[in-house]
Amino acid sequence: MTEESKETTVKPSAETAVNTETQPKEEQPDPKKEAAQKVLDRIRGLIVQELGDHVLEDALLMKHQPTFVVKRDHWLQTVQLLRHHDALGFDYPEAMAGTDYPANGYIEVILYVYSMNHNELIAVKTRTPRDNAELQSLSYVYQGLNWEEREIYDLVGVKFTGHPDLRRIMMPEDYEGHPLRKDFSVWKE
Amino acid sequence: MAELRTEEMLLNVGPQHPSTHGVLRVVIKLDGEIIREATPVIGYLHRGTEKLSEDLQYQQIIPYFDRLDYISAMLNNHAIVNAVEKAMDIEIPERAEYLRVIVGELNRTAAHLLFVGAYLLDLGAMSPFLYVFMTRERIIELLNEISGARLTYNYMRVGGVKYDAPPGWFAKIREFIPYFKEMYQLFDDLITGNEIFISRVKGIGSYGQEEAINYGLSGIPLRSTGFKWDLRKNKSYSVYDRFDFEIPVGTNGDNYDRYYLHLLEMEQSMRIVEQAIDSIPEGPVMGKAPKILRIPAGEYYAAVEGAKGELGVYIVSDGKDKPYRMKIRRPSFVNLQIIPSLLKDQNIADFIAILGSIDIVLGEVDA
Amino acid sequence: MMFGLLKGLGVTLRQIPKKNVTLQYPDVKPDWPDRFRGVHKFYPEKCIVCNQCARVCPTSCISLSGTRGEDKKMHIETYDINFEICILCDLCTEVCPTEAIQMTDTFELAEYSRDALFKNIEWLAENGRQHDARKGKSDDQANHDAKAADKAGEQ
Repeated sequence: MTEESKETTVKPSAETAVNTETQPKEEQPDPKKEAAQKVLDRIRGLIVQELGDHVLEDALLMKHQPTFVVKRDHWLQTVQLLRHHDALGFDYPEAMAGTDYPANGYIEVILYVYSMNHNELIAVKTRTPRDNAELQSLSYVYQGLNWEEREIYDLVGVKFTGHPDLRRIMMPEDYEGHPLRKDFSVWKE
Repeated sequence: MAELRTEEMLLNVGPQHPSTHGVLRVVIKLDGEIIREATPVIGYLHRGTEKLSEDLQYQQIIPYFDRLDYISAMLNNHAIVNAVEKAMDIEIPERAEYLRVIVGELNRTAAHLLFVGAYLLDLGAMSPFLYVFMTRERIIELLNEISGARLTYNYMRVGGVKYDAPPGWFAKIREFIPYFKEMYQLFDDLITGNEIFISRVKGIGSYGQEEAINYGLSGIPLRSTGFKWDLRKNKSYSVYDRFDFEIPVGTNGDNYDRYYLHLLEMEQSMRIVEQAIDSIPEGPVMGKAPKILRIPAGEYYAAVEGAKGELGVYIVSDGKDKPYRMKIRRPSFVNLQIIPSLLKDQNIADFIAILGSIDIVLGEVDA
Repeated sequence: MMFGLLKGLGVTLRQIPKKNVTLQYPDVKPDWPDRFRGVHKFYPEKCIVCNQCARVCPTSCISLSGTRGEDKKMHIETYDINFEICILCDLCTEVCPTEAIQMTDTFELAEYSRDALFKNIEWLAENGRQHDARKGKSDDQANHDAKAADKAGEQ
């Protein structure tokens, strides 16, 4: 329901999004943005209510996309809540990706989860230091993340603790280095 | 029976086994004829598309997307241009949207036809493959005429499409549709009712809805469980909301459902094409798009319904003309994950029947 | 019980009187549509050495060099395409402002040696002459036709 109503409002929002870059946001209320803000507030409220204020680092809208930045230690706990809580029910893992930010010294892992019951798509992400990058594995929460985590381990170099089968998936097993890290070079020794 | 000494056998299928799809390798632990454990080993076709993209401008990435799921390159094109347009808020002309839908649905039909042919070939039936190729060739020729290539089309651009339809192209599609319907009936006669085929696929390799969702399956592997989930309807993009079509779903989530849904979806795709060529508006095919595409800094995710399922593109931009990071959510890669649990405790003879029904393309799995 | 099999056999029998759909390939060449993207042809006299094709190429398979002539214009000296890595994506012909580089319907690229896939300016120009002769048109005429066809398609 909400997804469809969002789609029909693409055109006006496209214009306002351009305007907001130069003008203050109050000028024109963007229906798509307001809807997204509502979702963001509701879910943030639920997370804070269930797990406390300290698990979230940030909750923001990334171009109409509710996004939650979770503290690294509470990664598994938060995603489990999102998956199993009745009012959330994010049961469908859409995509997962790791991004290397050498300038900031961390690797960011983002997970897009969809709720089939509530028709909501949210992004949750967390950050881990680049050296000794380590995260709790979500592969028991969503079985579909098994290979995604292996891919992130292989290409970005994040170790997922508790993963049942953490091996390289794309590169050969004796390969050294992680190609999607920004300081990776094929010309290295 | 109890006194018989049995030994576990390790069987290596692939990566060049002619019965697998491309360069997939599966290591199987066999107990007699029963598969105890199956581990797919992938990466033989890994070209590092995501890494390469970080060094390419957005229009240069499009030909690389052609080579992911290389039998439905138009839909891959649509995925990348759709993602960039959504991120940059680019409006594209109506005619271009219609052309995208037409070529996309034609290509989806071609991809599904290839699945039907290859799946039957997997199961040892040679002749359907040839009939399928006769039909598919007609579609490939249509796409060749509009885009200039038979497989790697590189047809869509951010802001529209590269060419308008050549003169007489729509008339050729109108000629093709009755031919397709005739051939569709032929496949139905030749395959769907065949008792040998049915006994090899019905009730085999089935899984439930909850399992499918937990695995993140999309496309036909998800719909075969009876779950109505198609991005063309559920998160309608482009102009799909203007056409009247149905999302066929299965009931048991078995091989037969997955096979039959491919047939039914082709019929629906042709329905969309029929409506689109009747209602296509006049106008330009390329809208206003900056010559050098710079996505504003931020993170974006957009997906389209590819031939195999949800084909999503996640772009991290730092405001330059090249993506800082690009992740492609490849449906084949996600769908293939269910294989180990599906194959467990199955008969070795059903191995190919189950693997084939998931409909993977290794170009996409390995990216 | 075996009704389905008989039905399938019927399909096969019905196919027998039908016409062949295959082509006797090396003897009979396929007839490609106008937009077909085959191996490039190059018109050295048209090139203004703007380097756009080399810059837009996703696989960096084009390398070229030119000098400024006495008439203060740039003239092309070398123009090489490495067909080992060229993916025939057509982006180079799309950006070319003078249509000096275009695609032909040549598609047979099998060679005995990898070095032979490295095509230089002479080969590409010769390919253009052959293609134009085959099409029975001068290059200007061919351009004109292609543009007219595109225009007609737009309407």
